Amino acid sequence: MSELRWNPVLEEWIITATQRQDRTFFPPPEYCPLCPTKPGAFPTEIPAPDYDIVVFENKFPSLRPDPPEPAVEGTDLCPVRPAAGVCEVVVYSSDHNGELATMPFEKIHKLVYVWADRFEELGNRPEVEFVFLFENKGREIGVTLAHPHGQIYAYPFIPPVLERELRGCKRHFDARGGCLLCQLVREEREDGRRIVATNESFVAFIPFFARYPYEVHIHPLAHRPAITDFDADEKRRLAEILQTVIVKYNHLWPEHPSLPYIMVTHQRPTDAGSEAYPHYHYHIEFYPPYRTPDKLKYLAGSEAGAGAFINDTLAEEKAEILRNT
Amino acid sequence: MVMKKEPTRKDDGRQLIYYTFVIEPKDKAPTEQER
Repeated sequence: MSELRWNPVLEEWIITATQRQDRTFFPPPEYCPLCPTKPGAFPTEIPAPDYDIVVFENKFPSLRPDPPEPAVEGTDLCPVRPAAGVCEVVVYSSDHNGELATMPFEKIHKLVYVWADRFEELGNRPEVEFVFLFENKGREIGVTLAHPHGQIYAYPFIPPVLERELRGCKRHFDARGGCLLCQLVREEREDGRRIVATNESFVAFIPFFARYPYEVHIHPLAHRPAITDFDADEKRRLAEILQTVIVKYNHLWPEHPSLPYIMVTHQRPTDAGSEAYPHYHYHIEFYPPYRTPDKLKYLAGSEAGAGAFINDTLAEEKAEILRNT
Repeated sequence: MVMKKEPTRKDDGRQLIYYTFVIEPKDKAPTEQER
């Protein structure tokens, strides 16, 4: 069963997807569904004997192109609607072992091109309003397949965090002119204390208002609302700074040679072109769950129940550590 | 970087896309000096 249920109190859609309870959970490597299908072995999700990068629709999707009618009836206050959309898996490599940070630069460069293609194709679907590219890495994050991969959710609505960001940026634009995110990038570069890495087209920093100790954001220096707005040089430089950040994460602590993280991409909705979004631009955010090598940052009472994050660290100190890692 | 995509359908109707690439000299990883 799968449907969207409206929460009128928080004004947000909740996706119910009960079939996901049965999804594959840490299978042994010989039964990995993301490896190429081997002769005589069980059929995996990918029939080809080898591949570079593969994208396919998730077998256990939260959203689907042909969703069933909702299994429950809604009310005036709490309407329901079909869970239309697309959930895709992006498999980075045919090699079961490894991760993005240990792959050659060319692989990350290719991935940027795949992301742009998926944003464009999925964004052109009439039911899709927002294309969300992300990677959950590590058991601590809840990953259920070890094979290196990312995911894409093409939502039929603008998700709450993005809606809030868009609203804040639009308010700034209307009141003061200019893109708020561009202004924040300028201020971070002028200050310098929270910068982690930079190149000709991008900057990586822990924001002044970071919620997680090692929360890094990557922003373009020029105003680019979507990944499809980058030219070839910018795509290459995005891959470069992305590699720099994830390699730094793995070098942070010897106890975590493969540091878990959530990586998300924020960009404009797909209801209109980039010219309609002079107030908002593309960026990547990382949320590593560890605050020290042996302590996780939990989303507890204040964070989960009130939405008020408490960061036990100073962004300036953690950025200096990552910058020098 | 030249990207080619080969969309296919799985037996159950789900889309599966193979991406392949042609890497040009300017796409090579930057050297330490270039960084």
